[in-house]
Amino acid sequence: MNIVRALFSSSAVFLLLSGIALARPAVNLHFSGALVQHVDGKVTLKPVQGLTLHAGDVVQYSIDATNNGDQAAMGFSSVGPVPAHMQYVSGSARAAQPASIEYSIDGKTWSAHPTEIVKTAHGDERKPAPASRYVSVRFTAKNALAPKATFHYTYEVVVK
Amino acid sequence: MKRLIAWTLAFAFLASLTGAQRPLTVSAASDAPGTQITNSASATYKDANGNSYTTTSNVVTTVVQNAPSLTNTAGTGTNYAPAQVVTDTFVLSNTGNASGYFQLTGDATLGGTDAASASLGNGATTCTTPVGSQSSACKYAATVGGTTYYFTSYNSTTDNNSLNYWLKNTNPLTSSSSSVTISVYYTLASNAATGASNTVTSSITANVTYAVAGSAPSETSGNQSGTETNTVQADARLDLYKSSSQNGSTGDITYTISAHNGGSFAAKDLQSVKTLLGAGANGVLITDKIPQFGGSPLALSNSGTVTVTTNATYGFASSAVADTYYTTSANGTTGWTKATGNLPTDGTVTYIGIFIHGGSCSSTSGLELCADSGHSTNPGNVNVASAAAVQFSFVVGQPTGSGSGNTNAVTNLANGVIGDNQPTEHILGPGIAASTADSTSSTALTTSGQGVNNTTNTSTGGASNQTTNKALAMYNVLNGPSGQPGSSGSYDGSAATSSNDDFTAASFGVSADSIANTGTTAGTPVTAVTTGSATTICVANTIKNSGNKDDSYNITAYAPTAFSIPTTGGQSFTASFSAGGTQVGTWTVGVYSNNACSSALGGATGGSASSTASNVAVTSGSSLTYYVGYTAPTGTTYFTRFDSLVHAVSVGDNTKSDDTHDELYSSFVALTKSQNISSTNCPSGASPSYVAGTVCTGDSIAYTIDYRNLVLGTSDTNVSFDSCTTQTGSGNVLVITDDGTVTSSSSSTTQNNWGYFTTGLQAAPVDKNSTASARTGTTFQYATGTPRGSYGSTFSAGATAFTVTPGGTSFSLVPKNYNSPSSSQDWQGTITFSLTVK
Repeated sequence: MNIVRALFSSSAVFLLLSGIALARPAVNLHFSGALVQHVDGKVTLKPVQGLTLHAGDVVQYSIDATNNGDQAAMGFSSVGPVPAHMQYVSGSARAAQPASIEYSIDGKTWSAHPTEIVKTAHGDERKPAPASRYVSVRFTAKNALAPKATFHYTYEVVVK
Repeated sequence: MKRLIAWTLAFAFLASLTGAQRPLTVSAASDAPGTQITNSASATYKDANGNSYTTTSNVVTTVVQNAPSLTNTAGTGTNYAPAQVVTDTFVLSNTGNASGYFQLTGDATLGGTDAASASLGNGATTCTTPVGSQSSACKYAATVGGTTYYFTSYNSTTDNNSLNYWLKNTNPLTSSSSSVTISVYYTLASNAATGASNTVTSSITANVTYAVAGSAPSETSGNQSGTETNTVQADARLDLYKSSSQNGSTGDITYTISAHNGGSFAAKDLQSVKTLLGAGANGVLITDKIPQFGGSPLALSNSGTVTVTTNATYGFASSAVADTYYTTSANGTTGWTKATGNLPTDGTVTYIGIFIHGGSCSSTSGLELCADSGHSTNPGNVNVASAAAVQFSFVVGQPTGSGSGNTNAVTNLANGVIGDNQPTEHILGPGIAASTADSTSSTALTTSGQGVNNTTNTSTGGASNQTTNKALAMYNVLNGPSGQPGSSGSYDGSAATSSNDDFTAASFGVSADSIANTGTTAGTPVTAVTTGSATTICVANTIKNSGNKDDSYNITAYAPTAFSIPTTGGQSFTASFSAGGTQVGTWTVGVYSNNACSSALGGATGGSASSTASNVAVTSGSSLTYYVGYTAPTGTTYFTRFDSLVHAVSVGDNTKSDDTHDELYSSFVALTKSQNISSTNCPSGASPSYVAGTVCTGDSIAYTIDYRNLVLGTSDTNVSFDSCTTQTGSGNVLVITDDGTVTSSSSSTTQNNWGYFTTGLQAAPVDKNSTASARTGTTFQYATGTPRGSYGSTFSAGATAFTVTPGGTSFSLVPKNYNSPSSSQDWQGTITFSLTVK
């Protein structure tokens, strides 16, 4: 119980977040957003933190997972939400390291190609869900995240 | 295990602090301006011992700006007709993230191939805006919630006459999903080009402006444009084609009128037609004014049958009925009657009309000739006949009379009136001004030059091509005395009276010549006197084209041949010319156009024994007076009749000819003096015996002077004789003088000396007319003495000379067959007087 209290102390949190090597994997997630701009035929990224966005603006979210522990992180899986104000840009998810990419339309179930029940003139039919219905993107690494190593994932959303 | 639980709770707590839960749903469609968007990632993993770990990222926060956005959706283009008011609709939808108001960035722009034929506005004189009635056309309308508001401009900043003012100040949007339907009005010119490739586009550009919302400032969206494209198609157009054919034997003409809607819209019926016909329903009307000739309509033939056929394949409307009407009205304004059978054939029918009513096209009633895009026709296009929605035909007798055989003797075209496609229906008809509204008045249908009275084909439809017809050709010619080409006569009184033997008597002579009749038989003058010089006679004759077709003629005059008076005979032309008589001397002849016989006619040349004027044109029914100049050679004997034939033959039909004669008399008045001697006082037994005719003192001599007009012939017109009639009036009349004192020689045989050797007139001479009755009006003058003194009107016994004016100064000595004798004219008379030898 004392140990638990210690962990809730500010110093313990500091140690955890600063990536001090532990005898176990300790992954630090850094999440960022950048406004995708096209200038002179080139794509530039502008950090969105504190920025005001317009409808139609495309934001690229980046997930950088760094293992600050002294053991490999096994079965690493990271989820990037699609805010309700935004809409996933189909095909935009990228993984710098080998990973499977899946999507969820309910936040619970995942599939590389989500489907949904659609009411048609012939009754309910299961059909591929459009990208606009995606609420989350999940990256599942195919390999362990070694100590000191970083996985880098990106996906894009558009402001509705 | 406790450790594991501890870490799990710790991370759960951290997650709650950093907002790692899924962001809240803000809006179904867009994010309201000022909305804060936060986001963070999470991850799970395991260690080598299978312990699971969860981690979350930092939070990324952004704010949604004002995001005005709209869509501008134009309506579906459609077909419009020239002169129509077009309404194009655009839906402005607020697709942004807040409420705002729309604004047009400018007036609607008109484009397309027919842009120059379109003008913004609905063409009305007033527009009722939210402000009230304005003296201007409506250009725009906005429909919100089922209510439509009208505007005269887009950008007035002062009141609700302006669409933009209204959108911004009166009816701003109240939600981000609101929409407004904007209507743009423009009017097509009546002469706008039509066809599938003729378009007019209207475009509007709009934006939407949002107010300040939280930290989001006011912002205006980008411009969004919408364009609606309409096609300008031809309005309903009545294409008519009229054809005719003629029976080669009877000359009857069959007219067929074919009608087809060549436009892209159905033809509406008209109430004005209902009024004109007195019919029970509105409809369309196709009329044909019966062709006229000489101011009268040709009489219907074929028992007055009018045949009507209809064909739905080419647009004859479903359930439509085609009734036949007719009228005897000169201009079709009144008297239309529905035919229950054949039409009158007495020549009174002036118009035939086919009234079509009760039809519908595509289930829309009031349409009589449906659009038939599958069969293209034009006004007066021959193809109409092969695509006729309705066709009717009738037969008329051919025209008769002068000119009826000429090309275009009979011309005519068919007309028709239909309703157009405008919301407020107009009358489409030949000569009818554009935008003439249909009404219960039929005036527009029957005004001179309009509707049923139109006489001109028109590219705008409603009038057929013009047919031209004529009677079967009939050539003919009349040739006769001046002004009387149709006269009939006998130039010598012996030839059968006919048109070929009519004549004109003319006299000639040389004034210096002294003519003496040495014959003693009255009517058979004898003289040895001849003309002292050549003399020319110019005789007027007239030719008339009595055929029904304009024609040309060859006119040949022949030099005369001589006949002593009263010998009959003359020239003739039966298949060829026959001179007859005797050619005396070298007469020459020429045909001329003027009464001085100085301008040749038809290339005729003078100076020869014959002269021909060729191809002398004379229109049907017209006459032409020409002149034949005859030149008598020097030495022509007086008291002779010279007969000359003038032969005229049709160029169009050389079997048609007519002759006339010019009878030239070298002096036409002859005096024949005879005596009757009573020789009772000469002694008998004298040796040598007295020769016959000797008179002695106391014997009496009775003289008779026969005076007569020598001209022969009979004619149905006095013109034949007019130039051989003595004149009336003092100084011009016939005066006969018998002067007994010309010579005092007792041996003279050629000159009068009775004044010297008789006791003179003891009684006044007696003048008797051709019926041996005393002529009334005759006056005498007397002179006495030897030589005689001057003449006076008082008779004195012993007068030695006298003059006689038969019948007085109002008397004419006329040809024998001129007219019946009267106090003022007679052909012959005798003067008798007696003398006693001294």
